[in-house]
Amino acid sequence: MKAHTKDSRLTTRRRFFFTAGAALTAPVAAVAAAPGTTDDHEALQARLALLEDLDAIRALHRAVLKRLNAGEQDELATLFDGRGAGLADARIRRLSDDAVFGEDVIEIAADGQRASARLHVRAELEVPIASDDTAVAMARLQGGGVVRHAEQGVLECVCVKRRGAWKIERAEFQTLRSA
Amino acid sequence: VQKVNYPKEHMHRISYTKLTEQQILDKLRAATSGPVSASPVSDALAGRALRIVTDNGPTLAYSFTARNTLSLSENGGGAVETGYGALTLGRVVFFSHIVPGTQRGYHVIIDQDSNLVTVFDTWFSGFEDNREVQREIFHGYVEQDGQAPPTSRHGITNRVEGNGFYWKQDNGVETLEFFPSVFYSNFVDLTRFGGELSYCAPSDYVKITDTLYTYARVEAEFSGILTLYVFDLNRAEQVGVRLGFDETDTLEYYVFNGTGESVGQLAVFSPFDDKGETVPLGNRQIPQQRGGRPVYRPMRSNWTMTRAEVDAAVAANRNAFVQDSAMAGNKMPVSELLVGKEMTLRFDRGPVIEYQVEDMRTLRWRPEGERRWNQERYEAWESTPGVVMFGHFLSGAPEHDCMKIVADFDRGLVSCINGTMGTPYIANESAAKTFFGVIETDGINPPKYHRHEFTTDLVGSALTWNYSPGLTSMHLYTTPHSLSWIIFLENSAGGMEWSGPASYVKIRDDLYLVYWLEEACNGVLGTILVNKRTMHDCGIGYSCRPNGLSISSIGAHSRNAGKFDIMKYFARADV
Repeated sequence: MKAHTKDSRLTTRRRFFFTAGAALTAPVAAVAAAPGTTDDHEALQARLALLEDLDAIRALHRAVLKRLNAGEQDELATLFDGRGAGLADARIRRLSDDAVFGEDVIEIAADGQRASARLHVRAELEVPIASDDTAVAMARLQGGGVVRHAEQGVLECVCVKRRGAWKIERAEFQTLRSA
Repeated sequence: VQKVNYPKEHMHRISYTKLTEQQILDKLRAATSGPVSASPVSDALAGRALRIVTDNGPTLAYSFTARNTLSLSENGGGAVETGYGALTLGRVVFFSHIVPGTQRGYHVIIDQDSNLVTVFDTWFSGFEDNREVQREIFHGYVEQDGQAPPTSRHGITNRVEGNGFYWKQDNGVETLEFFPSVFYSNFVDLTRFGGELSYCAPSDYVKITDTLYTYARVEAEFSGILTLYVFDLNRAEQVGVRLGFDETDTLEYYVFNGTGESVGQLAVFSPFDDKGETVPLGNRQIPQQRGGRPVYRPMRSNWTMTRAEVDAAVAANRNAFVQDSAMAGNKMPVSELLVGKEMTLRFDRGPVIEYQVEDMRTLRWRPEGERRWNQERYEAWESTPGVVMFGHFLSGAPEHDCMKIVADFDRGLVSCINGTMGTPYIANESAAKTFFGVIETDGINPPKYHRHEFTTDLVGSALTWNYSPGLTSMHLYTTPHSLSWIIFLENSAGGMEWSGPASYVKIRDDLYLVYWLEEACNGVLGTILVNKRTMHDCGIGYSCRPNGLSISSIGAHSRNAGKFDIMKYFARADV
């Protein structure tokens, strides 16, 4: 697991890379071991808050996948900032973590109120068959009438903190390659 | 020769009365004495008391006071007395009754060995057509003093998908019933409707044991009658009930036993490990109302137009092979075999048409003896060397005719499905006439007597058709005069299906011209040339919708899905 600052631009944002699902376990442990080092208490608190934000954003991401995959649209909408908001791509039927394909990146603004996340996912997509033929109409009645395929890509998210809780302001799937 | 009772109107043409709730209540009053039965009912339950506990459903405390009367307490409520009828099938006892003063009834299957129970809770007036029986299925057990409830249950299954049966009930009613789906079925009523056409109905399949199953269908969009029975796969025996109102609004409420024959099995395409314990409905949620399930209701979802609307739509837009639809994703290459040909197609007791084919998309035609040529856009496909299917409109024809022609240039034979728009029932519903004839052109001496002929070769067969990615159906050629189409679920189990009149012509060995009419549906006339050697078809759809009249390509890849051995039943009744 890696969770570290990456470059000198991060004076206002901090970027974290994750190569596996258990990304946050070690940094939290590291912070817990910090007393007695040169870090002063304030810096330690800030670092802990940052890691908590990271944890919350990762949890938010997992919740999005869970609700989306369960078809729980109402619950999914509650994870977004703003009524009726949701994934911009109506083709997406299921998403699953695809950390093997690349590193996830989460950047948190210095004020801790906004973040961006680039999360590798495998998307199962479905595109409605454009037709009013009988067979298509009947297929739609039983959940079909669509062409399904899978793609590997990233879920580009903009997150905002609202009353202490992270919400997704915008989430967009970008294809990297067909699965 | 057996007398066949053909109906005055077929099921899809009957205007079933919109019965009111009060009318149904009044008619059900007679049912409180219990269902009638052509055979003696069973006394297996007489004198017994049973408490049936169901999962997420009612608890039913029964006291069977005699072989035909019981008292029932639902969920600890007051007891009511009513008539019932019981029949047994091996270890199963089945009984049925109405709840007096209501439109409800219970139909209960008890496995006396395991004490497991399936309860069909039925009611009328649960849909906009009050007469359509609604049902909800509950699984549970018969409570046994001092014993813990069993942990297993009956449940829905795909284990009988693909099966077909001939049944003869003890009252003489004969049917063919096919199960090419996990939640729909086909039935051919040989007795009541003469066996000409098959029909489809939303259906339930419940596994009782590895041998015993329950099947139930509701003739939705028709009479709304429920037919429910337990059947034994090994012995081909059944016991069950029929409940509802026929086309004269007469109450049918009887229990029956029957014997039959397996007519074979079709292929099943769901994964091998799939036991069908759920019906995967993709992104569609099962309707959440009580007893909800997907039901195909084509007359409520398709366009019904007047003749004036049809004429206006045709005048505004008439499309011949303008754009391929999803039904043509696997179409055959367009053939150039006709290009440059001049020929006369002479149909017996039908039209005689002269042709000049200009290129791969354009032909000219005129009735023999006329001077003026008409130009049309056409498409042609060479299904097997020397045999071409092509189609085009007949400009100016008052019924907006199209011609779907199969020409065998090796033998000088030609067959035509002449589609016209409008029936006595619906103005935007296609009709079809079949003509047989010969090709007259340089280099062909056509036969004087030999013609293509109608055939029953395909009857009972099932072929899958993959039209394009995500769109696969199966044809089941159910009778000599009808076919059914089944749409696969996302796990490739059979799903929703419907049926229509059809016809089959043999062109050559393994080459068949098939048409079907989507009557009381969307009015399409589908016509395909089925090549059972290449397992590929070519064909033409013909329809009129508010956006105009169209003929369009059909093309799909096929797989052989098996065949029911059923012609012998039509040999008595229909051929």
